[in-house]
Amino acid sequence: MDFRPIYPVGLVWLSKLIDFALMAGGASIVILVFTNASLRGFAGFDLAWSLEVTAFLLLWVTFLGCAAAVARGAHMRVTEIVETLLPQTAQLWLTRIIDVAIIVLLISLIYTGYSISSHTWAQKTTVLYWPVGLLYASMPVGMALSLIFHLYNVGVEIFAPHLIKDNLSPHHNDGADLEDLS
Amino acid sequence: MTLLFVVFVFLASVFLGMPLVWAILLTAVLPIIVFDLGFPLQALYLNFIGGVEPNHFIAIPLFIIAGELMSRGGVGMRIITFARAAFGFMPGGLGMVVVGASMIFGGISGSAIADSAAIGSVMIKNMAKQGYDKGFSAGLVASAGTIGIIIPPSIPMLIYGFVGNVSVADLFLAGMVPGIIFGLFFMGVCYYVGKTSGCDAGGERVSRRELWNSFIGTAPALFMPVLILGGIFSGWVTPTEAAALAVVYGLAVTIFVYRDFNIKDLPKLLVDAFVTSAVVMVVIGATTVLGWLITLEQMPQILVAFVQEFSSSPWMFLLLVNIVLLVLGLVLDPVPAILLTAPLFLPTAQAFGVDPVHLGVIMTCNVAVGLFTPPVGATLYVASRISGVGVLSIARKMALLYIAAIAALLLVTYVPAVSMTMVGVFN
Repeated sequence: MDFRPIYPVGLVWLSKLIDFALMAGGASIVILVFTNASLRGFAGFDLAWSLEVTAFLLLWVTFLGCAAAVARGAHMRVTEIVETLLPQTAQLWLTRIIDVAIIVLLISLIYTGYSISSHTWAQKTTVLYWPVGLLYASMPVGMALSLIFHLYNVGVEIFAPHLIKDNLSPHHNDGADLEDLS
Repeated sequence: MTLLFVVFVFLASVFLGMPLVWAILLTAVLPIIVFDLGFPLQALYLNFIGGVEPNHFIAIPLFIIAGELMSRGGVGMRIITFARAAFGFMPGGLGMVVVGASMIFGGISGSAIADSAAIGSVMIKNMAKQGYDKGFSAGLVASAGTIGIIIPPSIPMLIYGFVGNVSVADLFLAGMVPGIIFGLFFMGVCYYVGKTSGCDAGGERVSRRELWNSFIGTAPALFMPVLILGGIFSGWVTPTEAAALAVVYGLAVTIFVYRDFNIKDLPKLLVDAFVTSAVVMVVIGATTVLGWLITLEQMPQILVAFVQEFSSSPWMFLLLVNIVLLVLGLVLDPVPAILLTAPLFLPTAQAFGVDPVHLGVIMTCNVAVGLFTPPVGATLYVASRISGVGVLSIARKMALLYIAAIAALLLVTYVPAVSMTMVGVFN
């Protein structure tokens, strides 16, 4: 379920900012990889720094994309079994337990990710001398943004479920779709 | 004990509806806490980041973008026109057009869903007009569409190759003949149905000129797989660079030749592709964490010992792979099914002397069958949505197609030459 239509202005802008970063990062990756392949094929040399930049971009677009997928409710999950076998009340309780487990997991990822990033900040990459911690910071940042969206999504489900009924259809999702991969 | 706990936590969290990425991470973290295994969380989460870091993963979003570009507008229609000219005259010809067009489209999009949607939206209606049962037509679209992930380029194969450190070029080569076999088996069913039901006994052959004209219409799209596969097999580009070439070529063809794509839609296409790829990439990262734990706890060795209790033959192991993936395929999509089982099956396969490339093809064919089996079958849902026929009603009309698919799967599994000959020839 795509939650973005019921987000307050602040979260809408946050979501748009992430989308912009994904678009810019994604376009840069396409251009860099294509340019590098063309240079190697036609001019006989390649850009030594391009591998480091694309690795950096890939990590950041992946973890930012993870947050964007939380906002869109697009993470892969198997819902059919619970929906078929469990009564409505049990489903509701189960959802709450899963939501809490995700929150705990996200907090542990943010805390440990921050620690990994700060411990590796002094190390530098080989070509561009960028801090390695800057690459690793993508994980805690992405998880923190995921947590923000997740907390709001859970809050709406518990305290304002009418917002979901009024504004969203379960099939409304113009975001990521795993169908693209199958 | 740890193995049982891991399996229990994983199955419980996945089937109770926890998103896959968090379910896998939970499965990796919980045993460390419960059994006090002494691994620090830093090491665990460093694997999570490290699992996403390899540069070649860039090929995943790039192939998604290329496939999306070529799935739009008139490309599907042009392919159908060509397939109709090539196969339409035979008994069951209209069904064969569905299969033939799906095989060609699979080489361009690499996606079963895109395949089924593009072909189904035109062909289900036409087949119904010809007198085919609507449930069978939808079932044929659902099953033939899955050839898209067997014939290269294939995103599930790409992911298997990256996760298992197996040559993507070899996997793409190995997928060609199995894809054609699945297609031929489905065509055999169409021939039989067309002839016995009397709804499509065949017609006039089109002229060579007409066949040539329809081919020319599809040629720019058909050049895409030639570019991708030719580039990879010749060693001119890596799979990642081939994917970037495919994006640029796809943009050029859809904007300047077919004029199907508006450049204004590009930002949204990029965002959607990178969100979709992020969903898969974080699962790959989480699987790396679980794979690390699986290796440290020597779980593949336990699986090898378990299978060897029954038989030391690789066929027994391959039968287990078939059964596990067919069962998983009932509820999981191809990518998660491959991501979850590859870390366990790959080392076990090597212990049994099964080639990792052959295993990759077997796994892809298996999950392809899972795509059109209820209750969770993505192409089945697409065909159901297009035809307006319920998923179970479609599945009931698919008995012959299931038999054909299982026969093709068994052939691919138990005759390694089917997959490996092309690899041997090109290498």
